[in-house]
Amino acid sequence: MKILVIEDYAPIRNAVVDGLTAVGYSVDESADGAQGKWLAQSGDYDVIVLDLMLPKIDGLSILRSLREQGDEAHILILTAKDTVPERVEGLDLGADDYLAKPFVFDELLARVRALIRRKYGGKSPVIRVADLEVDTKARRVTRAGNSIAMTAKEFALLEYMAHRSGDIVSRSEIWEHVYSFEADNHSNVVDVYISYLRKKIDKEGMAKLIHTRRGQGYVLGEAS
Amino acid sequence: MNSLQNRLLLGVTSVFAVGFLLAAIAIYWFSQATMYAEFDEALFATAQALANLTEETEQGIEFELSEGFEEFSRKKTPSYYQFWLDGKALTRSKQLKNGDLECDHGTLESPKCRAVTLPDGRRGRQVCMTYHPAIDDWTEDDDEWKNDYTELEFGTGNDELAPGHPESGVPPEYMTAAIAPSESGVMTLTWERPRANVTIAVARATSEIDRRLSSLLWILPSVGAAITVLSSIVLIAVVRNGLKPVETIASAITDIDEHSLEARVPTGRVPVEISPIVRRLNDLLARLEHAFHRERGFSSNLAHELRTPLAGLRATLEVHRTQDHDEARCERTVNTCLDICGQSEILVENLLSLARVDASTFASKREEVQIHALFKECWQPYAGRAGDRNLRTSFDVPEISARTDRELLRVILQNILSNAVSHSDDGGHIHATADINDAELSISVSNTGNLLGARQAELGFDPLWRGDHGRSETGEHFGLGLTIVKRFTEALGGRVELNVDASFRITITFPV
Repeated sequence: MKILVIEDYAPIRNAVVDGLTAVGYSVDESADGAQGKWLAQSGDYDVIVLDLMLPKIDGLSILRSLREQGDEAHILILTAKDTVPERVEGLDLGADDYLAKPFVFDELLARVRALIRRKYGGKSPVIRVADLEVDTKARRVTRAGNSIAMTAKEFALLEYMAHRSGDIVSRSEIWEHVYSFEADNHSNVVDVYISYLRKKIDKEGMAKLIHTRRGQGYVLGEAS
Repeated sequence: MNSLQNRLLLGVTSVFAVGFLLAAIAIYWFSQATMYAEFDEALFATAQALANLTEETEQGIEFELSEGFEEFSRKKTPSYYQFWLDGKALTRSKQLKNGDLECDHGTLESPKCRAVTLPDGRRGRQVCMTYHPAIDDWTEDDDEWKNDYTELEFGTGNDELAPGHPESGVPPEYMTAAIAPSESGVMTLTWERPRANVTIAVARATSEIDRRLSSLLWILPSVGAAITVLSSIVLIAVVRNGLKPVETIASAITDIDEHSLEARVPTGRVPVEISPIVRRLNDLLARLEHAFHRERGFSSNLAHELRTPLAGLRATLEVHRTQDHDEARCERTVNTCLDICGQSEILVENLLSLARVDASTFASKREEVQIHALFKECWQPYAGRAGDRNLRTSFDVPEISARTDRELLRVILQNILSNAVSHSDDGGHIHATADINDAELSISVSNTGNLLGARQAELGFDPLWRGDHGRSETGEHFGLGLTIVKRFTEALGGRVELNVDASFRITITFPV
């Protein structure tokens, strides 16, 4: 999952970026409104964590601009301004959620997960594909009741494909949503991680769930 | 009585009532005077008519009172007359019988008129005058002395012609009526023979006048009361209508609260008497709106400045707790938290300093301060940063001493110099001067690269206001610097001036 954090106060920005990266999200960051707006418009982010008091361009202006352009990214406002009129203004302008500072990081994480589920149509934090269960909250994977250990990046990739289960996911889509902006764009990395997932999920004797669609990408789901 | 309407009603109604009362009295008095004057005029005419019917004859005074005076002979409600000759009763009207009228001795030119009680008890008026009846020319003698008057012409100085002089032939009882000299010196004497003094009094009842005046006595108050009541009713409606604009304004004001201070009382169709009040009220609302806006801005800014470091602290520690604790990471986390605490401490100290200076119990401590040394000490922490930004400095701060509060002045200078270094353009110039004039110390610091307008610069004195609305560099700039400079300078008994154009210059002046 790809997340953009736009926050000018370095301690908060660094902590949020570190925390989201630690759980496997691909996180881009910006310290001012102008750069943040450019990143938001040019990238396909699952969630944008947006501060309101920003230098150069304020958060509400960025929000208004993205919605006017039809950008469907899920936006969570993070701000010290939390009076009712300010919350109402932010939500009416198109924000999907609002979190006041100071905040509990776990709550921020839970709200980000909820926004991701909302984006991909899921209601439950546990995504089931056949006998595979991906618990996005506990960051745990089981198949046929057996727990499967995964690295953060493997989990992030599996989570994305699970949200899009049944859909063909191209390499570029995987790249955009699982890897950060600064990372080098090598499609081989995607193939490597897919093979890692196959080894852990599609073991010998089990029905395959990860399928290759030559020239198109990959699909997670039961064989059709 | 606090009601404007009731005051107006009572006041105007009272004025109306008093006015009507005075008018009624005036009308009554005027009517009475006019009626009595006309009555007296008629009475006088009757007396004159009666007088004309008397003659002085050789036998005495004769009366020819026969027809035309029915009023004196009727039995019911008669009028009365009486004649006197030289003060002695001569004749009277029949109905007077043995009664007498008062003999007042008026004259033809100025008859005496007054109210009387008639012999039959009725109220009436009487006119009395003394006159000379016409002389009946009863002499067949052409003796000119028997005539009413005669004229003789004689030379001057001839007093032999005075009445009584044996040679004048004029009886002594004759009076010299006139002596008129002519241009030729001839004198003309005119004598009047003595005449009988007859006094006549005519009295008539004033029943008709009294009846009319009585009617007036109840008609006037009744009409006055009715008009007063009617005008009061009309006045109530008029006053209510007149006060409607006040009600409209009151209604408009009622709708205004702290959430709608941008509203204004409508000024269209407001009476000119109330429009000054409405204007002042709208001015007050504008000031209140501005004050509430500043208050909200302050609260919002304070929330940001207090919550943001707390959020940074919390997020840093919570994320740290979920991750591997290698030494480098721990060091970074601790340093970040300490930096945040340090920034918050500065903010808290600044706010507490402002609160202390604003407290009524604050008292500055004065001592001799070497201005140049203090300035140098305050500049020291910023010299490095100024060098990093290639800022040029020119300080013209002489070796002067002043009696003032050292700590307050230190904080003032630190804030001014910090602002100058932070807000100068790269490679810009900072200039400082100080001097003492008329027992006042002035310190001025200017920097190039100013981006604030005059109005924004003034807003800088509001606590936590920042020109950067995004409030970036949280923890480094709080928007309290100019507030502290102003409040601390005022605590020293001084004032702050700003001059803003391409440069930003701040001057503090205070007594020493």
